Amino acid sequence: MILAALIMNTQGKPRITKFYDHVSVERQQEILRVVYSVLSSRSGNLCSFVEADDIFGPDTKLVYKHFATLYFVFVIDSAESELGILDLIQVFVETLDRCFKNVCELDIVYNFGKVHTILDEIVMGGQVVETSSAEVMKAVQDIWKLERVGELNPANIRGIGHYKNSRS
Amino acid sequence: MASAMMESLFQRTLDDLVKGLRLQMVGESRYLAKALEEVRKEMKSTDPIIKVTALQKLTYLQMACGADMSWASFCAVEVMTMTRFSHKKVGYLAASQSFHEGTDVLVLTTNLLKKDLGSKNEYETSLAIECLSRILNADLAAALTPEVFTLMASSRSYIRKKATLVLLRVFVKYPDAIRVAFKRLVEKMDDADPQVVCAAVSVLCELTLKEPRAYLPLAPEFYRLLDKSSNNWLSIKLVKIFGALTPLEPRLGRKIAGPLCDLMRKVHAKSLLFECIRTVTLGLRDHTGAVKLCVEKLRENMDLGDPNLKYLGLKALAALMDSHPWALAESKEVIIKCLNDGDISIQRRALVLIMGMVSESNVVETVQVLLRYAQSADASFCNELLSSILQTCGRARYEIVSDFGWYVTVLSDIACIPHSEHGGEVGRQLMDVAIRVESVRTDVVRACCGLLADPALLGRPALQGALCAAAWIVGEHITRAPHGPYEVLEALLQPRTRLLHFSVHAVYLQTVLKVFVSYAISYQHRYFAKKEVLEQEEVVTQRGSLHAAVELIKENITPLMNSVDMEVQERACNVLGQLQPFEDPNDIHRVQDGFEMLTALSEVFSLDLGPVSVHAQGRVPLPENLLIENNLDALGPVCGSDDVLLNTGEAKTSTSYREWEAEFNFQPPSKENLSGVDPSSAALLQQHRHRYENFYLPSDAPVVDYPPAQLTLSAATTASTSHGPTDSSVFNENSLVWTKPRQAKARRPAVVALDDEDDLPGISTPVSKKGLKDELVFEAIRDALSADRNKGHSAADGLETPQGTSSSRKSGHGHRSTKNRDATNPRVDEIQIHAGDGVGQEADSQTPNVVHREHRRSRHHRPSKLEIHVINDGLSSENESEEYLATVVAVGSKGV
Repeated sequence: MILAALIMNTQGKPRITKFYDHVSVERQQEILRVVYSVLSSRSGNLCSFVEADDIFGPDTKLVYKHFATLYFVFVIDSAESELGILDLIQVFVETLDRCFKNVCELDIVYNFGKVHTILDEIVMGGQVVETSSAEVMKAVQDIWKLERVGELNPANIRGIGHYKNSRS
Repeated sequence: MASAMMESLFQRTLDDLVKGLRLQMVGESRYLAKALEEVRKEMKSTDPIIKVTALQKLTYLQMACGADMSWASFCAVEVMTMTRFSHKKVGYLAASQSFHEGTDVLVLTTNLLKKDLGSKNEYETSLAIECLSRILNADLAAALTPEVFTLMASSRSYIRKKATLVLLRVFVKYPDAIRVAFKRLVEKMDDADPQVVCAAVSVLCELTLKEPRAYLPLAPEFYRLLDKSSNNWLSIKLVKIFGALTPLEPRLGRKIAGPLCDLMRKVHAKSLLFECIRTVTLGLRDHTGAVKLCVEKLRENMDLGDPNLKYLGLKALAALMDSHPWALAESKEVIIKCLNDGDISIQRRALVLIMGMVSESNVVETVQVLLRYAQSADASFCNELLSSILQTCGRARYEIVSDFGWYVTVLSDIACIPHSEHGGEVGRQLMDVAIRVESVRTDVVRACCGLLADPALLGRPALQGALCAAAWIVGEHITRAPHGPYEVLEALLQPRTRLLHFSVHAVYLQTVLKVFVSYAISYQHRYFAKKEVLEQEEVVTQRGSLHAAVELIKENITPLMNSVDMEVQERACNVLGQLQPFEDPNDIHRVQDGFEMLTALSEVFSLDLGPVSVHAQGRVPLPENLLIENNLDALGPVCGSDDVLLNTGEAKTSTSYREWEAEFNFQPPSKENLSGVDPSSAALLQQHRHRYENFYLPSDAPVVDYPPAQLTLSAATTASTSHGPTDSSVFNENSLVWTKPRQAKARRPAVVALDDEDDLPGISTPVSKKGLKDELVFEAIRDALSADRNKGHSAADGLETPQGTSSSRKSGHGHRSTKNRDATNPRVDEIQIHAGDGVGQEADSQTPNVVHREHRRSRHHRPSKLEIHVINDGLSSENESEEYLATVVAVGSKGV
C-alpha cells in the first residue's frame, strides 16, 4: 500500500502531506526532514527510488519525481509496483496541471483544500482509487461546484486561480 | 450580532494566513504562535463560518508547521456535522488529517458517519468513506460494517469502488466483518465497472501478500481475470498476487508460466513487465523458458540507460543470484558498469550482486576490480566496498582464498587506501592469517613492516587496529623481517608514534623490546663467533651499531617514562631497564651480563604463540576440592559466563585499553607478563606446568598443530606479484559461475581451525512476525472461503490445494525459518593468544606431518561435536576425511 503522499518544495517546506496510517505530528515533521535531506542530496538523472527502511520500516521505498521547484514523493511498501507509482505521480501532476492551468508551486500553496480533494480522488486509505486523469477531473469538478453552492465568501466564489490575477 | 458581523468581516481567511506566513518578518515560530492564538479564539465563536475558517487554518498549520491540533478534535466533529457541503468537507479533512484510532471523540462520530454514509449525495458519502479509511477503529468498524456492506452494492460505481477499498481497513480492524463481507468482495471481481474490479483485486492483493495460503482457492478467479484484463493496474496487482501464490503451489506455476511469458512478450508498459519479471523470480524459477525470457528482457531494459530500469533490473537479478548464476554471468558487463553509476542505490545493488558472484576461481580478479573502484569512490561507498571485500574473503575461515600471499597484500592495500576505516578488521584478519597460515608468515611480516614504516598511516585513528596487529606480528616473528631488525626499530620509534593511542603505543613498546632482544642476540652471535679474526675497527663499527640502536631507543623512549598512561609508562621503564647494561660499550662485564639476561629473555620470546579456542577454558576439568562459589557472589557480574576466556595473567589496568579493545574487536597480544621478569621464570613456568598439568589447557591446543607449508614461499610470492591490475574483461563466463566451495584443496595452504568454531555466517532472512490481527484475518478468510467452496463455488481448474497440504507447507516453512535463524548466527573468529607453554618448539621442528584440525561445515554434512583431527597431506577429500574420523578420535582422546 501507499504509506504516505508528500509534496515538498526544494527548500524542504512541506506543501501537502498525507499519511495513510497514523503518525504523530512530531514524527511527521521528523520524517519530512529526513525525506528532504535524502532527496536534496540526490542530483538529477538518478533513479527515482530510494530505499526507506530506516524511515518507514522494512521493505519500504520512496518513489519520487522532481518537477520544477517541487518534489512529489510517495512512500510505498512491497505491495505496490515502483514504476506503477511513478505513473501515478504523473497522473497526479497531470490532473493538477489540468485543474490549475500550468500548475506551479503557488497553486499548491494557496489551494491546500483543493489539492487534497484531487489527491483523495486518486488515493484512498493507501489504495489507488482511480488512475484516469479524466475521471479524477470529473469528480473534482463536481465536488468544487458543490462546494461553491451557497458559499458566502466572495473570494472563494471566484474559484480556481483567482489569486493569479492578484499575484501579477 | 454586530460584533459577530465584525468578527466575520475581519477574520483572516486561509489565504491571508498563507500569505502572512510567506511574508512574515517576525520569525516563523512567533508568527505561528500568534496565528494559533487567533485560531483558538475563533474556535470559540458561535458563528459557523468563523469556526470553519479557523479549523481550516489549523489544519493547514498542522501540515505546514507541525502545529498540534489534537485539542481541536471536538471542534472538528462539530464542523463535520454541519449541513453545508463545503463546511462538512473542511471538518472531514481536519478529522482525517488529525484523528487516529485512539482519539476520544470518535465515539461521537458513529451516528454522524452512519448518516453521511447513507447520504443521497454521492460526494458526501465519499467524504465519509475517505475519512473512515483513515480513522477506523474496531468499534467504528463493528458499528458501520452493515453500511459499508450496503454501499458495496450501490448503483453508483463511484461509491462502489470506494466502499470496496475501505473494506481492507474494516477487515484488518474487525475480522468478524470478513464473514459478512468477504463473499461480496469476491463477487466484486466480476463487477461491470473495471475500476471496482480493480479496487477489489487491490484489496485482495494486500490481503494475499500478508498471508498467501488462505487465498490459494481463489487462484482460478485471478487467473481468469488476468486472462481478460486489459488494464495495466489490474494486471500488475494480479501478477503480484501470483508472485505470492506460486511459491506455495507448483501446479499453479506451471499453469501461469505460459500466459505470463506471452504477457511479457507483448506488453509495452514497463511497470507490468517488471512486475511479471518479479513474479517469475519469486515463484517460477524452475521454468527455464520463463527465466530465460526474463533475463533477456532485463538485459534489453538495463541497456536503455534509464536509471530506474537499471535499479529494478539489478534487484531482479539479485533474486536470481542463488538459483540461476548463469543469469548474472550473462549480464556481468552491465553489472560491473553499474558500480560506477552516480547513484548510490544502484552502486549498492551492483556490489551485492558482484559479491554474490565471487568464488574461489575469480576472487583475485574481482577484488582487484573492487579495489580499483574503491580508490576513486567517495568515502562511504569506498568503505562499503572494502568491508564487503573483507567480509567475503574472511567468510568461513577464508574459504575462497587460496593464495594467502596475495590476500595479505590485499589487506595491506586496504589499510593504505585513503578513505579506509577498517583498520580494526584488517588488523584482526592480518593476525588471524599470520597465526593460522604458517606458510605465509614471511609475507605477513613483510606487509606489516611496510605498514609500520609508513608515517602517513600513524595519523589516521581508524587504522590503529591494523598498526597494533602489525606491530605485534612483527615483534613475534622478527627473524622473518625483510630488512633486519634495525629498520623495524626505526619504524617503531619514529616521532609520529606519539599520535598513537596509548594501548597501541604499549604494544609498540613491547615490540621494541622484542626486536631489540633479537637484534642484540644476533649481534652477539656474530661478535663472539668471529671474535678472534675480527679486525679492531670492525669491532668498533659493529659495537657502534649496537650502541646506535641503544641510543635510538633511549632517545625515543625516555620521554615516555612520564606518560600519563600507566601501561605505556611501565613498559617504557621495562625497556629502558633492559638497556642499562649496554649504556657504556666499554664496560665489557656489564655488557656480558646484559647479553646473558637478553639470552634468557630471548628464550621466552621465542616460544611460539598459537590460537586458543574461546571455549578452551570450559574443557578444563574442575578439581573436586575447589570451592569457587563460596562468598564469591559479588564477583558474579564481573566474571560473566564461563565462555569468557581471560587472558592468562594479563592484568589490564587501563580501562581505556579495554574500551579500545572492545571498539576494535581485537584481541591484544598477551605475552607481556613474561617481559622483564627473572629469566628463570620460563623454567619455573615449565615446572609449574609439569606439576599442575590438568590446570593447563590441553596440550594439543596452542602450538603443536601448525600444518606444514604446502605452498612454498617462492610460489606464494610469485603468485602475488603476477597479479597486475585487471580489467572487467577478466571476468570470463566460467569464472563468474558460482562453484561450490571445494571440500579439500590440494594447493591451498592449511588454515588452522579450532575445534568449536562455528562461524559460517549466512545472510539473515528476516522472519516476519505475524500479528494477532493477521492471524485473525487469516482464520476468518479461511472460514469464508471454505464455506464458499462447500457451495461448489469454485472447482474449476483443479488448482485449489487441500487444506492439509497448505498447512503442511506452513509447518515446512516454519521449520525452514528456524533453521535459517540457526544458521544466521555469525560468530566472529575469536582467537586468544596464549602464552606459550614450551611444548611448541620441538613439535615445530620435527613433525613434517602435523595434526591438523579441520572442521568445516558444509551443506551436506554437519560435523559432529567431537574434535576432528585430520592427518592432512594436502590431498584428502571429503570421503577420506570421514575415514580418518575413527583414527582421529583416538588421537584426540590420547591427546586429552
